[in-house]
Amino acid sequence: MAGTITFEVYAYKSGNWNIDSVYDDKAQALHEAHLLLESRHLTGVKVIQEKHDVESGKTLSMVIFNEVKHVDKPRTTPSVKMKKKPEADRTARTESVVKKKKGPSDPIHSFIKLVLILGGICLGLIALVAFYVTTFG
Amino acid sequence: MAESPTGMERRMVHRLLVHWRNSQQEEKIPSLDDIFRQDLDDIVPLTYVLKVPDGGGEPEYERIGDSFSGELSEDLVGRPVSQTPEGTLLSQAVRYYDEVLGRKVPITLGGEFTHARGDTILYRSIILPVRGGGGTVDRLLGAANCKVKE
Repeated sequence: MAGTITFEVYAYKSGNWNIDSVYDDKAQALHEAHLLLESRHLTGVKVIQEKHDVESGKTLSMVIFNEVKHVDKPRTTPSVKMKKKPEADRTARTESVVKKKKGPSDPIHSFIKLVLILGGICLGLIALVAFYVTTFG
Repeated sequence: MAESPTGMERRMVHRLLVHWRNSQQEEKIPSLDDIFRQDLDDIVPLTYVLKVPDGGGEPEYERIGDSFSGELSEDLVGRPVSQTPEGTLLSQAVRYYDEVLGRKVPITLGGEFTHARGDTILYRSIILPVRGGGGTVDRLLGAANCKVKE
């Protein structure tokens, strides 16, 4: 792929990610990112690799470094929480499926119970008829 | 005894960037005086300054360090960047000035090119935005160094 790769260093401060500097060398970008994180009053620093394809005109972006210093985390935290939500939904759906599986077995149990009860009644009636036949001829 | 700097720390573009950062007040873009007030030492000959005309337009050279004079047949001070001779370190170092003007952040680039003299040159360069009196970016501080590829 013919193109250029740059590494953009972003600094998080006062609730915003702002571009700090741009490099064409990954090692230098990461080095500067670490220095920024150590020496400045910044909450977070990230490095984004930008791969520009000259032929297609498209740019692929990829976060290669993302460090947060304090508890006051940047906006990435809420999105992570949001990503977890579907998993919780999926669990709930699974539970409901399990409950539904229990459903079909109940009529069978009832049917067996009904057969046993009716069988008992029939045996009782047969025994009664047999008693009358043997006693009264 | 102070620790000797690592390879990255020794790089001229890194050292100039550190000077630029140290010149920042409240993390705003520093002025040229703020930067040169620092001890730039051996970096000064490797630097050049571009002045951006009021209202935009093509910048012109305001200052060119001694290290570039050897490859330039004439003095470019007061001349627009488009008159930089091709196949020189200065032409490679200055080619992305418009991106720095647009983004107002330091940009460092390097690579290799064939010099007008025929040598293959490896170089590293940096362009830093510089604040003028009105608070706008009215100058760019650039620097570059190079070596002949073996």
